Amino acid sequence: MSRYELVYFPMRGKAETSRLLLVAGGANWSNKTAQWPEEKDSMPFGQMPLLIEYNESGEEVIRLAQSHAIERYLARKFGLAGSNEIEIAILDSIIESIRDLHDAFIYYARKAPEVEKAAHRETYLNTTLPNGLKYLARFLEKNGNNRYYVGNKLSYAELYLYVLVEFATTFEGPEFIKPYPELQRVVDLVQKHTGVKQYVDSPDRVPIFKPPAGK
Amino acid sequence: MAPHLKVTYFNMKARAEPIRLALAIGDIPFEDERLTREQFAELKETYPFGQLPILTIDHKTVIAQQHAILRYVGRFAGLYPEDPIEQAKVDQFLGFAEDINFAVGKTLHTTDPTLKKSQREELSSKTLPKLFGYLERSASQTATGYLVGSKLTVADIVLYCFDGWLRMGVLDHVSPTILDGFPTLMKIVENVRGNEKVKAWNEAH
Repeated sequence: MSRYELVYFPMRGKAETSRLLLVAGGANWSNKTAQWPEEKDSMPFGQMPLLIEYNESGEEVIRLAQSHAIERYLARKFGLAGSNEIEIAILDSIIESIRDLHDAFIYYARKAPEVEKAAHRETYLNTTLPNGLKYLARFLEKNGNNRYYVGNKLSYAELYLYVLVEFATTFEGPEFIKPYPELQRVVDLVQKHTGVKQYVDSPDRVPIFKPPAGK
Repeated sequence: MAPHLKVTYFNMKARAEPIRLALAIGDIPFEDERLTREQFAELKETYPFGQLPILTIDHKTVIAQQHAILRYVGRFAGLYPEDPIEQAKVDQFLGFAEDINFAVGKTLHTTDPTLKKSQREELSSKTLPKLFGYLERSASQTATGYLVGSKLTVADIVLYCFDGWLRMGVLDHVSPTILDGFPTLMKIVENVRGNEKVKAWNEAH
């Protein structure tokens, strides 16, 4: 059986969907941290998260950057990526759409110029996020409201949605998801998955943000 | 029978050109639908995420999101690897390309012109060269003339399109010739440019 190391900051962020995938896939895996920024340049694209996979003989199979490349790679391995070309493409598009929302949040929260942050937050909360969620909910309706994005099977799209909702409710409060009961049902579904529940409830789970240095 | 494919976007290259080129290279016929802003406004809500580009398959299934479409058509065009590790490397590049888009996009949102100028200058002199530096390093380790493996993939097409877009000089205060400083990447861009089907597509459009 392969062994995986997921290298990232000790927080959820862009690695969390991969962590849920490793858990849901029953993989042999561990978190690793890196000396940052000292180790940055030694990484293939100067970025984390980074997935390192070792085969049974302990040889490195792949060293992979980019959260979505990691997610796709793991999802395919664990049968959580769709069962035909069209399902794969639909799930891809949902992941990328959730990524857009995630990036929009990161933009206003961390990257926008200080003087413009409040304005960008307004746009995010009043337009970007509600619109994005509306479309994500609509996909579920199209699939018959059975809590899955395609077919009748868990995929990494539900896992990423769970991460997004957890993230957004932590920072924006529970109100924004109330208009979308279909999304809440996906969140409930993921929470009930045995492995995921154990991971999420574990006191060892990394925090949503890393604590400030020195604390 | 091969499915009917329609690519819908605005009348420009931007996020649809890699898809159009992939289909052209793969000799896959498709309907190249280009909408005006007014037409888009009317149809927007019918699209999966209210956005373009979209791919419509057999007049019924609609796939949105540029890279989801690119992977889908790439498979049929022989431009997306079958081996999981090679696929992951292409995905890695596509994700990295989105990071580059995000870095550029940040400067598009800024409203204050002085701030925008200084952001663009930082983009041009630091951020983009640094990001392309990682790509150059990775590509020069294998030096096959392609980003992944030893044949053309959708990753190379995306790089070629980005270089073409930069060279149009649409980004104020950003050098249009940034990629000239990265010889391995420039060879890859040249390989795509020299592809017969790419030449034919460019001449026709």
